[in-house]
Amino acid sequence: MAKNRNSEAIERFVARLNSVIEEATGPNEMRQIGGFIIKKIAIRTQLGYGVSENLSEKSKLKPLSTNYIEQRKVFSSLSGLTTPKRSNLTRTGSMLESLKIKAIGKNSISIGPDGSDMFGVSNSSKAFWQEKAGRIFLRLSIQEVKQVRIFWLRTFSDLLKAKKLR
Amino acid sequence: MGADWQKIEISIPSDLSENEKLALGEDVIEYMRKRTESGKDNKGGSFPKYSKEYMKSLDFKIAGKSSRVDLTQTGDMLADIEVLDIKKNKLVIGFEKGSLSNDKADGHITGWQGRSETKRPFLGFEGSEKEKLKSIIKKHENVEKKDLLLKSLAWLSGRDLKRGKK
Repeated sequence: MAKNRNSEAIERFVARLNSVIEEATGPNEMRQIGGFIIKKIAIRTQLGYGVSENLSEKSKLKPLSTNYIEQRKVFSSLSGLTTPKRSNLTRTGSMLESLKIKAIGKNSISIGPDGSDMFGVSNSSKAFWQEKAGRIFLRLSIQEVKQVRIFWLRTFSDLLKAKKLR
Repeated sequence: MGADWQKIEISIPSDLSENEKLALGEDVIEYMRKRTESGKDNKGGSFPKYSKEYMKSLDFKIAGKSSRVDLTQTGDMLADIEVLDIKKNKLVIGFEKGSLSNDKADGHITGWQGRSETKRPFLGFEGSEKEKLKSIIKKHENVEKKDLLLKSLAWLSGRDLKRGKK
């Protein structure tokens, strides 16, 4: 009898744990993670750093050319989050602002630029040409991956507490 | 003058398993991260304010920071705190020697090796925070006891099962 009660308690515990795992890896949580990643990429890029490949260290973005700096000095719609000399993939700010979740898979999130700027130039083509020019930013550094892990673990921990499993 | 290696040693019960020691270390790190993000130093007091220059800077604006001092611009530094070594009755927690995050942490903790009067110690447990550390360790001791209880229950139920078969 005691054995049966124990088995039932264990079964209930496993069922609750499974429901937490399902929730923590479900589309809602993946969307939260996607939003977190977008914010990380945008801030790091606007601070002037790129990441050449996933899990590497961030590094300063290539400086702007003298000609382009001169153009930016007279460009009336220059974003408040940059200066003419600052290399941070920000002119109007539309490309980084346009980053969005494109798709959510079972174990993946696809993120990329969307739409176009006020001049009709597509944000994805801007990102493409920036990467071609060596300013690679749509990657996650080792520290950013660690932050995503921390973000997810906090969510998981909150869910465990909500289900009284922790 | 180069940065000091920023690390702390924490006394822990020697009878915990390696995995349990690591889990305890992760909990200690997470506590220090959350404490720092909430604007508290290693004594539980508030950090000195940011300088006016920094608060007026473009970096401050880009990172979307408020006047709350949380040592978080990109979040890289706090994400880089790790368990460096597990000993019989000690955990070493801190930053990888010579890393960029170690340099940043050293700057905050030592006031950039004395070049600034502003120090923001965030690693470790001083004053009333020592009690917090004790409570985190105690929680893990309890986990160890729970584990022992579960093992005992399993052993007892095994005996019941054998009796049942007879």
